[in-house]
Amino acid sequence: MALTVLIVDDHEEFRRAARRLLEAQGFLVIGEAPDGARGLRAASALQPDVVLLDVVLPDVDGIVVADQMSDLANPPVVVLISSRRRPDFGPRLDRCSARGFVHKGDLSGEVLAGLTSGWPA
Amino acid sequence: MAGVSAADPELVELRAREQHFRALLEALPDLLFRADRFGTYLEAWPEDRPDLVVRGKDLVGRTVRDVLPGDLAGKLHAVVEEVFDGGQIGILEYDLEIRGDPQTFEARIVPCGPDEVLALVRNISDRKRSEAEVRALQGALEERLAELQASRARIVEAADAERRRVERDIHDGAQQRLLATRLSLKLAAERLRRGDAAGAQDVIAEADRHLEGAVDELRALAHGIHPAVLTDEGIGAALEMLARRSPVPVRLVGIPEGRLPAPVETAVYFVASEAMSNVIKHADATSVAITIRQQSARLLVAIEDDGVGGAQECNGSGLRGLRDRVEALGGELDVDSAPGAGTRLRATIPCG
Repeated sequence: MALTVLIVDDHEEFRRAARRLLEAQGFLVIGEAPDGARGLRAASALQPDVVLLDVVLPDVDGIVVADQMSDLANPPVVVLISSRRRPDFGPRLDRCSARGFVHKGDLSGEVLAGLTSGWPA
Repeated sequence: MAGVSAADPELVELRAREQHFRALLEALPDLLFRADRFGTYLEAWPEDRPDLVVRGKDLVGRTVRDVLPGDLAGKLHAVVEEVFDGGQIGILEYDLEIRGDPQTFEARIVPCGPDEVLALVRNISDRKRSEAEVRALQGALEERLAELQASRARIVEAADAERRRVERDIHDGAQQRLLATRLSLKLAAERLRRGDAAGAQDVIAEADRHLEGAVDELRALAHGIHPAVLTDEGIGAALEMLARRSPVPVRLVGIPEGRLPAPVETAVYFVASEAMSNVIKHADATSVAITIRQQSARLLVAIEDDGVGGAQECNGSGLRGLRDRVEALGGELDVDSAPGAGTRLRATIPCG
């Protein structure tokens, strides 16, 4: 069974391209959200296996949202994404409960599969 | 006259001393009064002077209270008493209006015999006026300096804000399109791997549109930072471009043929460009005139519209940033924008 994905990012163009690529590579995108608050609500309601979560969101810090998602009843695997590179964020990214970090341009089904391996599908 | 002759050495000595003291008094810039401890004038020097309340010879026999305002007479009396008590010099500075003209004096009062005082009174109005002028100048200078520091801080802040805006524009615009393009190309590769050439072609066409959009955005952004036409062809061509792009008809008057110093061209361009963007956004105007005049070592730029007027210059506004930019070049910016009477922006920029 395909892993279900929620994409939380404020750029619609990126969400669309990511959804199509991941779906072509065997994931099932079950939701999109343009900001942290709606992302958290969608994660709680849809209970996806994976959340792709932009670090820089228009309303709240993506790292804070990641920690809030880890407190949900069925916490998803959170993968932080950004158009910035990992070193741009400093050490607070290491302390975050997210499973991993992927540069938006490097995103693919393969990379996501690598980060979610071992996850009971 | 017995015992006194012209040749009496004591008398000769006395006359010599009298002459000596008279010369001293003549040379003295001060008023000199002798008075008893009750404030009765016993002697006054000189006889007359424009800054005497009462002529010297008319003073003798009258009291300080007859001649001076009550509160000043009281203060003088208090100083005289201190002089008698302490035996030391007493000093009082006071203002006094002499025939409608405010003057400042400094009185130095010393004991002079058992029940008398000598007062040397100096008119220090000129000194006080100079001091006040120096203080006013200093105040103006400090104010100017503070304004200069504030404007420097605003220029730095404006440059920082501009950098943040450019970063934001790149991040939200071209960068997102380029990232989406990468993902689209990966999708095309995925479709090719599965033998779906038509599907791959669709995605590649879409990726191409994303790239076109990104290129357009980058060009617009670069133009906003510094239009290439300004660097390459100068202020005349840049203003013509501004006029061509404006939805409101623009009349250009006195546009210079040749090149001006780069900072002047840049300032003129941004004054015109900011004014035009205000006209388009707020003025509801039907026509605009951009006029340039060169007067000896100064360049005058005026942008006038026939719109609604009422433009406000406040912190963080474009106008404030323009004023800082123009003043940094030693120029001046004037904004005339009465409600209902259109807006006229005028910059004068040194152009030697």
